[in-house]
Amino acid sequence: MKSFVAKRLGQAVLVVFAAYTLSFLLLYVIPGDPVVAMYTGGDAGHAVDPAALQRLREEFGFDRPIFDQYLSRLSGALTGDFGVSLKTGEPVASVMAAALPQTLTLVGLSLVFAVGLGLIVALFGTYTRISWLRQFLLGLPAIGVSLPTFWVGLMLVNLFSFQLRMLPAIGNVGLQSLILPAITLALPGAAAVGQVLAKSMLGTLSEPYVATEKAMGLARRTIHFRDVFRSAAIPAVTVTGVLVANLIGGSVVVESVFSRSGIGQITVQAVLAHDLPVVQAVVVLGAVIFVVVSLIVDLLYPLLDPRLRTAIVKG
Amino acid sequence: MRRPTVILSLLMLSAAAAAAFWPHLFTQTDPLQTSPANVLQPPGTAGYLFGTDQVGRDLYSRIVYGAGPSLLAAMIAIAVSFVGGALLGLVAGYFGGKTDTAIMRFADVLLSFPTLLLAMAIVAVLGFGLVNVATAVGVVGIAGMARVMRSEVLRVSSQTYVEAAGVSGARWWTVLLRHVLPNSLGPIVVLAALEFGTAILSVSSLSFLGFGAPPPSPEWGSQIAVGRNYLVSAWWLTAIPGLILALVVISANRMSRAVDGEIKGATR
Repeated sequence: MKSFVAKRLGQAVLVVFAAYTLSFLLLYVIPGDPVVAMYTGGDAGHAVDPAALQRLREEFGFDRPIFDQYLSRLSGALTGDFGVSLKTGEPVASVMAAALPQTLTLVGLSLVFAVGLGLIVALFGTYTRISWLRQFLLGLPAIGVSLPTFWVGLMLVNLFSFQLRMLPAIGNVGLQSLILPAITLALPGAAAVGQVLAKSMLGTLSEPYVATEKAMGLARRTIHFRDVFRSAAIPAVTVTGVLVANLIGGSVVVESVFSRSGIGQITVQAVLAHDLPVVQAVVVLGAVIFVVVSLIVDLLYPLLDPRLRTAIVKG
Repeated sequence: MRRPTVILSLLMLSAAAAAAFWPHLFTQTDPLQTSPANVLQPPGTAGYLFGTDQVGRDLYSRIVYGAGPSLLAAMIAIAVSFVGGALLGLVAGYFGGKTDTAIMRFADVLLSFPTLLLAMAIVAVLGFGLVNVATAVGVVGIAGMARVMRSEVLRVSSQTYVEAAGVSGARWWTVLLRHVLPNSLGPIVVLAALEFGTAILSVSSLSFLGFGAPPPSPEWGSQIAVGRNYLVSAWWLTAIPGLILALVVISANRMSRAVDGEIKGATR
């Protein structure tokens, strides 16, 4: 068990390191010259004073050999120093740290909504015997994954903020301003959870032990919500890592729709300004969160599924 | 064929594809033609089925003309994922060993980034515009395609006819290109179809954020981004293009699932 944890932990560290390296290659090596990329918007054509560019290159250290830059940036990142924003000159780490709580709150609440909604749809969709309700509930996820998040957000704002005047349309103030963004962000995730769980429930329901339980006279409700759900939930837990990653990515769109400050808004600004150190920090942060959540899920598996405990001890 | 949703989806997709290729069949109105006398007319106004926008352009014809760029961008994205994934998967699966390990670890790392963030980072490097956005979305999709391709190449390479081709003296690239490649494409063709709806969504999201087609392009994502400024006074500028976009994605997902189901049913 201990070696399993150590091995999995080592893997996670390796993936984060590789993700950092890949983002460095993508953002600093492939474009050739980040300073030119920033001032010409990557599309070339704007004339900028070459001497000014040279000064900027020296200031940000882009005139040094690429491997040199990689090492110093990597060692900086390890100590929490992600360089400075090319646009504002502020340290990237403090900009991120200031925005992170807003985004994490949004993502956290969305995760709760996504899991809750997904559970309800999948559990009751597979439970009910009313044919139209069943078709309706089990059909919802396919629609949920197909809706453009930004459009759903705008429609919700229009309905609840402008027409019904129930909730604030924009901003970060108070819990109320969090509700609409969190629901918007949660919908595709809820659909994904619902899809996986419903499929897994249907599969588990045809297992022989369910027939045995029925034959023994156990209430249908008990079988469905206690036993079948417990073993069917495991594939749904597997998608949590991807789910959280998608919520982080989606928060960019949602924060933009609701004009909320947070990582998402920083990302959009940074991409628009070709502010590569900030873009890199955001992308690496996304990868780190994905890796950490996947790691937690993997370590929780044995607690959820007793069959895995023996497998891990043996392996 | 007792599935009405599949037929509806097919109709919706055919209409969208037809609008992409021959928009003039659906409307005689120029999508860029402004009309200061008819600004922000609601849907149903005489001559304007879906109403008009802030400079009096006909929303219906803008949606029709938006099908082209929106669907083309999604096709580019899928093509990039498909070609990149097929090549990497083919090389990894056929040569195995260290090549395989290197390519697959690379794919794992790509998959550890949130897709939308990685696409945005690529856009930051490539620059803006619909083609660049589509390329970025495509690059992000390469890893998933490569994985599926690799496992199919592994399966096909161990088949007797591939062995036979090798033993009977065919050169390795002949074996690879004539026997392994064509017989391994099936699963990623299906995956490409399944990913088409997602590609439309990703491209339109990035376009909405302002990285794609600049206004006055009728591309759906950027059209909604502009319509957003008139959310209160003119709901139709966001609601209708978004609804069409959603219907096309729902249809694409429904169709690709139906086709996927047919294939799986047939081989069973």
